[in-house]
Amino acid sequence: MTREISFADAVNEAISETMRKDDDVILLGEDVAGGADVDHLQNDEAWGGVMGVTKGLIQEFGKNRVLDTPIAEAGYVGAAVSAAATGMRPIAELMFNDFIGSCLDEVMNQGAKLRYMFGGHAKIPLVIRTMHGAGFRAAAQHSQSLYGLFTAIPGVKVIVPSNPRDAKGLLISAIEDDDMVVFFEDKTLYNVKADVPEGYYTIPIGQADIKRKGDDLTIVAIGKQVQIALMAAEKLEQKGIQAEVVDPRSLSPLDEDTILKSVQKTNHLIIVDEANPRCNAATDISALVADKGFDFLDAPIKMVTGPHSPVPFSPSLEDVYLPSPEKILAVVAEMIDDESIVAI
Amino acid sequence: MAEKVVMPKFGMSMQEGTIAEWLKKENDVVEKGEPLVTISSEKITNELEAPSSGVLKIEAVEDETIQVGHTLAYIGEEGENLQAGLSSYSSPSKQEKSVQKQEDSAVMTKTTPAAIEKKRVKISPAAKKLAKTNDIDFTELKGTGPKGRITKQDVQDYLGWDAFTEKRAEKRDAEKETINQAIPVKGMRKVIADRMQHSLQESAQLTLMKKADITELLEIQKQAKQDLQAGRSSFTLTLTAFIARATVKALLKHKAVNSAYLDGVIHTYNDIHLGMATSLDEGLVVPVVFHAEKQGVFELAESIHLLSQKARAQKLSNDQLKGSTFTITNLGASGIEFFTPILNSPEAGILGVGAYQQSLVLADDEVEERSVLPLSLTFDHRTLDGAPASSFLKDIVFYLEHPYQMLL
Amino acid sequence: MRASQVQQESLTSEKAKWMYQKMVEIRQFEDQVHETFSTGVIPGFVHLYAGEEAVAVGVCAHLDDKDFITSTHRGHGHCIAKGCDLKGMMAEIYGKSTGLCKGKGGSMHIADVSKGMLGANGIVGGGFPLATGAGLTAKLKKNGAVAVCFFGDGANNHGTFHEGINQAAIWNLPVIFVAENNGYGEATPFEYASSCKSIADRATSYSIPGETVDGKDTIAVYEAAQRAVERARNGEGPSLIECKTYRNYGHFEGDAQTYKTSEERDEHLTALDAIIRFREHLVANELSTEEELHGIDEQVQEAVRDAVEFAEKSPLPEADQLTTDVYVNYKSGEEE
Repeated sequence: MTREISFADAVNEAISETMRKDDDVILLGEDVAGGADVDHLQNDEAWGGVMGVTKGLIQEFGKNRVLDTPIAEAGYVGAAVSAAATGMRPIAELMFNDFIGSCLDEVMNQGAKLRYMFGGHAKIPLVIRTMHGAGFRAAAQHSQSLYGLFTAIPGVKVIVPSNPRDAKGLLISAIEDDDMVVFFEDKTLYNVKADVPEGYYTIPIGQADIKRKGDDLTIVAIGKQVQIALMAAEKLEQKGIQAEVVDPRSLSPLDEDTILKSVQKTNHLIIVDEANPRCNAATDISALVADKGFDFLDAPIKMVTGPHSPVPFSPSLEDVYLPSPEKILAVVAEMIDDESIVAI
Repeated sequence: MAEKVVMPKFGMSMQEGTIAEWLKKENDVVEKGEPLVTISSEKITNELEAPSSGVLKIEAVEDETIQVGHTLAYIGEEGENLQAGLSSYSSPSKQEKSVQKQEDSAVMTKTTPAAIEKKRVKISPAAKKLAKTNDIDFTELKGTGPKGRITKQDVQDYLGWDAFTEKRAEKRDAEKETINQAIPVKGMRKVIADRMQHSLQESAQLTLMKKADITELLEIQKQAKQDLQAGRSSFTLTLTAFIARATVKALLKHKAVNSAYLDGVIHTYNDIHLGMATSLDEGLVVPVVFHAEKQGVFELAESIHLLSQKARAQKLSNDQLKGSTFTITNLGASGIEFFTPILNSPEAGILGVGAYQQSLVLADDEVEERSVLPLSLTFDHRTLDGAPASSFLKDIVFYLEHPYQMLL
Repeated sequence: MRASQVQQESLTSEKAKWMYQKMVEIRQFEDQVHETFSTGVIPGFVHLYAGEEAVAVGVCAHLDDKDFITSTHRGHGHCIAKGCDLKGMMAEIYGKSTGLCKGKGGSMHIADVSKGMLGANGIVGGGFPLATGAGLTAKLKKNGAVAVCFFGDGANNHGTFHEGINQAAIWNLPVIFVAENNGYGEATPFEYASSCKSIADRATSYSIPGETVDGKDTIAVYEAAQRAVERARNGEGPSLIECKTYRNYGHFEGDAQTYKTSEERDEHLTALDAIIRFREHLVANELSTEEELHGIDEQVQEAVRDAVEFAEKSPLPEADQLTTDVYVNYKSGEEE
């Protein structure tokens, strides 16, 4: 049975359903309950996260399992790493991925490396949920998409879901997973509604999903940009160009086969990633195809990304910062030398 | 501004062309696209159209042979000092120089064909791979992609593939299925197919067969081989080299066989350029040993060895693949004895060499074991008759059976 | 400081001899590594614990395998006190496949989670959040376990000191923060780098008990730790103990230790030496005899010799081990 629910509710369901199933699953982060220990606060008045994503969990699971933390990311993310190493299955919410600057050591030097440094004699079943993405008028320190940073770190798995259904199934998989997973939630997707199955289900980590089939052009898009790519693909269809939209869903591990097979079929590749253009998921996938799929290519690999600048505040600037269907069409036009595509 | 008219390149191997006829005169006013001059090259005669409109100033006279890229004429405005006008905008001498340079490098690629690869051709990786797997020289293709890039589609168009074939092939690749393939007749295969059919249709072919006793020749070859091993050689003195030498000797005696029937005229050649049919995985090629009449058996062995090496490395230039006057083809390695070779048109003769056998021969009332080589000579009955052809074949047999005669 | 009569009684002869053995193991192990390192056999760099034995042993005497400790660069002593195998440790320091971490961690990351040893740590201040997390697990699982965070005086100025202790305090976690104040963070004196008279003073900020003890007095450490561990097991929350101690060697092997004075070194290596003092205490209080202790000395000598032999004879890791143990599983592209 499916019903239409929002991305935020899908995330909430994934957490509550795993917490019901496994007592070791706990949630900790800044205001994940919201207003903890405020006497006059009725439980349903608690925030449940700044965006209300974890609303209601404190009522059901109590404050031993839904822990508000001090605004001290190194402290609680580090504690979550160790709680995972010592027998819990924590979900730590890093409110905005931009705050990784305050706790990168705990993720990069502790969580990602303990298992290896200990010769495999430890596991870190930890999920770090974190918000990312531009388009929220949240400016430079609350709008980045830093999944590329984490993808570069061995010992971390990285998931970037593009829709509510994937978000729920992948988050459940992430919580069940015995490795550290950083799970990215685009803040501008929280209110997007779609059909989501009821109940407990998983989607395997490391398996890309072809969101739209096509023979002429492969568009690999990350997170919310999958929606943008699908819009561009619809426009391209008017020109008889069938674009295949591939959603990697997980950047580490990356489903290389699905991407390469698609490019082998279409001979054309565009990667859409709103992150900054250097050393990001787009360049990584581009390098993959240049390396392992060189002979498949009939045109240079093109990337549609944000510019090499921080995310701006002013709406007029932020709108230009982000990829758009029009930007994708312009790249297709250049790729196949057909200016008429821009005008669709 | 004046525009230069240069010797065009009609086809891959053309290096120079001859002015057959000027269709316009000096100082004529010509329109862009009008036929200007007739150019003849080795094989074909072509008309060259005026590249722009204006007044013609001719630089090369009729019957003059001009290198590709060199100036034939200028087209400018009336009263314009064409040379001056030209030099004022783009130093023609410099242009000419760069053309010359290009030409030089083109000539160079003839001797070192590997350099062709280095020539920058804008082609996508997918198109390049498709071209290579289908034996297409992509430097010949015209790109329709952005900035003239050769795309996969361009190669497919050249191959005549439709979208359906393509998708099926892609799917097959992706799924790694093994299925029977219908191979489109393209590239070398097509050239061979056309040539063979043309040859049979256009000439009157007749094949004569005769055995040569090469027992002594084989003894000499064996002896020579051993001597050579200690010496200079990176090649062996093959039976083929002796057969080539015998053929050359016979051709020198029977000039009429070293000939071609072209447009109702029999051309007889003094020089002997020996075509050596060579079978490759990709098909049949016939590299040419030029001036075989000037080569002894050692030189022939070396020439043939080098050509066959190049053929297998696919490093033969076009010039090495044409211009033969007589051809030898050998199916000995396949164990075939007699067969009916098809003429390498327009040549008048082709010698087919079979596999030699040990045979019991009655000689001087005694049965001896001899080595016997089957030979098949196909000749063009339009050019010569059975008697001279037989005589020619008998002479080849004579030389093979009297090897010392070959050394003379 | 609290009275310690109760604790005095609890130190049995058996426990005392165990502690003596662990202290001698640490000393001899480190002296051996010091000697071997100078021959170039050991890769990388090592930070030796010799001189600080009373702290690790005095604290770990109250712990068992279900309790967790976090450690520092200078972690060999914590490992030994927490029960890690000497052979596995030595092989790890040699980078051998038989090491506790299969040669992938080395001196700075020796760990044995099965013994509750969460690893030596290459990051100064790395232990505070980790100990807090282990304490959180203990609290939520209600298994009576405690977590101990050993940290140096250098780490007491790190931001994680504040985040970790504050968090342990607000959640009332069973964590004991044990400062090993050996006077120098690398080469920089404690007094220069820390704006406080003692690290224990800082406990006041978190409303948790903090006390300073002579870290070379094994009994003093033992008693302070006993109070803190009992408090933690009773659900009364974290404590901070500052142990004033001294490292016999430099920050790392090869350190010329120009910042030390020869007087302080001589004093610490003789009159103030923890093992000499503990040995005297045991004999004087009839917890053991010279003969028994001498027997332990010889027994340890043999164990350390065996550890070296084991490490020397062990094979290096094969190249195919390079990318294993990064993840529990790392698959992609499977069919749904």
